[in-house]
Amino acid sequence: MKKFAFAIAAIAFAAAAHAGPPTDAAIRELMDATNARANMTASVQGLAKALPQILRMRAEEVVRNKPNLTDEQRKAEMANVDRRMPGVTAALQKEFNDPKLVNELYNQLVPLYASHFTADDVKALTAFYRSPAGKKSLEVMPVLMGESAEVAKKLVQERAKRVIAQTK
Amino acid sequence: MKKFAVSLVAAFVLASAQAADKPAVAAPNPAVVTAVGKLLDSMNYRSLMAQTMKASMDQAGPFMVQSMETAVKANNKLNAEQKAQAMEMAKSKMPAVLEKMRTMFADPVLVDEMQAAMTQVYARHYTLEEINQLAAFYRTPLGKKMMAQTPAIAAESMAISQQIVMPRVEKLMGEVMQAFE
Repeated sequence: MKKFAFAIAAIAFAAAAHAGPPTDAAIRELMDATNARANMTASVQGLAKALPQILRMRAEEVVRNKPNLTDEQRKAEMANVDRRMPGVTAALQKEFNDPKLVNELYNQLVPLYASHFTADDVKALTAFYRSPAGKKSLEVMPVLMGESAEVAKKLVQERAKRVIAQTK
Repeated sequence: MKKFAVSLVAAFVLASAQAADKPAVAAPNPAVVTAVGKLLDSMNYRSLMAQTMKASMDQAGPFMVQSMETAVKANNKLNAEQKAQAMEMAKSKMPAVLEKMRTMFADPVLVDEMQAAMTQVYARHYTLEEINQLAAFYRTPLGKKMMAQTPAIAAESMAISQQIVMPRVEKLMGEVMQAFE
């Protein structure tokens, strides 16, 4: 704890020295420390998994809103969509597993960090995320986010049930 | 943040679904609970959560209307006339439902309950020392700056991802849609 407090003091004193913009290399180092690439890869893959369902819903909407179709014809069109879905899912996976996509995202985030943090900020953040507490917070973050979403879902659901019951 | 808001909206719409109850866990050490309270304060947890709830509500409105329409249209037990009636009725009730939801999401008690539950979550995952270290970090100027910039960074990074990802999705979408043009 004492060591950590000392590290913070050191960070605070160093802050006066480099208030200018950080270098790309320094930002990439920070992004390495936060496992940015692995996180991006995971979220892109999550999207690839979720998208087929969203695309199907959109297709369903288009079919539903087409005028002058019989129920039979709508059914046939949806069957057509469903026949194409496995192909679309495979194409999505291929598109989203492309390492170029993650590279592109990664490269675009570098200037984003540069616009928000100074050179010293970036250095100190990298040090924080390499410290035991910082590492632990990165490790626990996804779990906390997940549990936080669960808790919120539960609380909101309880209330939503009451709201819906009241308006019936 | 956005994903979280969307999942909240989904939670609201799927309100009738049963949430699985987790087995009870031992109550955490009171010293840890106190320390987590300080950590959450140093992170401005209350105001962040209040903002998240507001964002959820802003997204919930259109989503609710749409999912209600979808549900009515997909109900095969109704004929066209009954569907029209159901839509009419649902539409007339929508403003009242949305108003109640707005009140519900803005309720400070919801944020209190959220904070109490999250205190238990943090206490389960961090040791007392880690909690104190994190709180110390969030109280430094840099920690404060980081917390303050995070929503903007998340929003900008979301926009960047969409710019890069959406053209790819649209391309595939176009291919799906070609199937019935």
